[in-house]
Amino acid sequence: MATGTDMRTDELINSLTQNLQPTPKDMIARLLNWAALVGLAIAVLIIVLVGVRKDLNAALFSWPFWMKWTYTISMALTAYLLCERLARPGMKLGWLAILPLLPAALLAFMAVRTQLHLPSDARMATWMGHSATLCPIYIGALSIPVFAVLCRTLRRAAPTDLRTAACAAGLMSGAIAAFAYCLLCNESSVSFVATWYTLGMSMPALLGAVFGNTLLRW
Amino acid sequence: MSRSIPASTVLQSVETQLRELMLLGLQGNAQAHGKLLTDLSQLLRKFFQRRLSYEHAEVEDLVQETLLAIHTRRATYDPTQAFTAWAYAVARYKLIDYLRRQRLRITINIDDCSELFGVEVMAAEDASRDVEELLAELPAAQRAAIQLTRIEGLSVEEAAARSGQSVSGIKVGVHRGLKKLSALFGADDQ
Repeated sequence: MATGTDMRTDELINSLTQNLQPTPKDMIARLLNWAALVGLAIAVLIIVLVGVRKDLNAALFSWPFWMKWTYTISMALTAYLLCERLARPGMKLGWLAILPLLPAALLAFMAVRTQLHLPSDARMATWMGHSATLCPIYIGALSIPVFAVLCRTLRRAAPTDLRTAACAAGLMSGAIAAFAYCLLCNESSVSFVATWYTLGMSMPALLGAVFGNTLLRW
Repeated sequence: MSRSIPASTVLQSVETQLRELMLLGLQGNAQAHGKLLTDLSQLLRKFFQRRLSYEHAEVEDLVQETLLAIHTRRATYDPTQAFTAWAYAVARYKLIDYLRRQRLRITINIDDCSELFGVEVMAAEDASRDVEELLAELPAAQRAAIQLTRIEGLSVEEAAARSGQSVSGIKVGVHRGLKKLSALFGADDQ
């Protein structure tokens, strides 16, 4: 901290008003956009290094691929909205807090419907795919560098509800990681995404809710 | 960069006035920003003084830390929201952060001082033994008067009833006994 007991408050004020520059109105959004871009770049880079799915070109024109991207993008956007508010002192979320639940609930509803239309012996295989245990771990691990970038950005802002803010930042980094993970993952069932993607994205959110006071302290 | 502050900002409610100064400051008006910080420093000093009745230096540290935060993080103010609520939230955060640090420090101190604390308890026991030795020097009536009123904390009436002396006897006993003690040991009779 630059303040010392020996410095007088009026001297401090004088030094702070020297060379005062205008402050852009959308500063928080700019910071968050940058953090999101950097985080996304890191996640995509890691996925490219690990190896994208072999049929990526074909998949880009398939509906499961876009179902997954739509889900992860809408999750990232809702979490972004919450972060933008929680980066400011004293801002309450109110009903906005349920926003990320909407895409999750919608996809869960679709998952249940498609599962019910399947023959009962095919349900389990569709739900678990071939990577049910790996998928949440991959997404969770991939979200960690993104989460670090987002936390660093939020500490430069002024969140006052640290746990909630870190939880939202965790969800946003989970969604960005999941978005990048879509380039690798060739699972195609709605029930798979609704369960295992959601679980993966929730892990960094949980991490934020637990360790927020330490992660975001400024 | 420093345009003058519009005269209309004077004599308005704190919220309107501070908000206007803040908005001017955000546009780069150094004079308005300086006035804002000066006004805020007075409000913050009162805010922290009310909550931390001790330690003047700590209050001033917190004022400065909060001013610095308000300055460096001024971009987090949303102009559609109340300014005082925003500034209050920053001050409250800094106060809680301070108290949390303080609690950690106190916890550490208690751990470090457990031995010292033990020594102090022993010293207090020593002191009470010393008092008993001193009282032994006095006549029985004076000793009882002092013992009952000054050490056991009874009222003069209760002490009189307990010892079978009269009320004035207790008063005189306490007075003479303390006088004698201070004469004997050169101490203050407080």
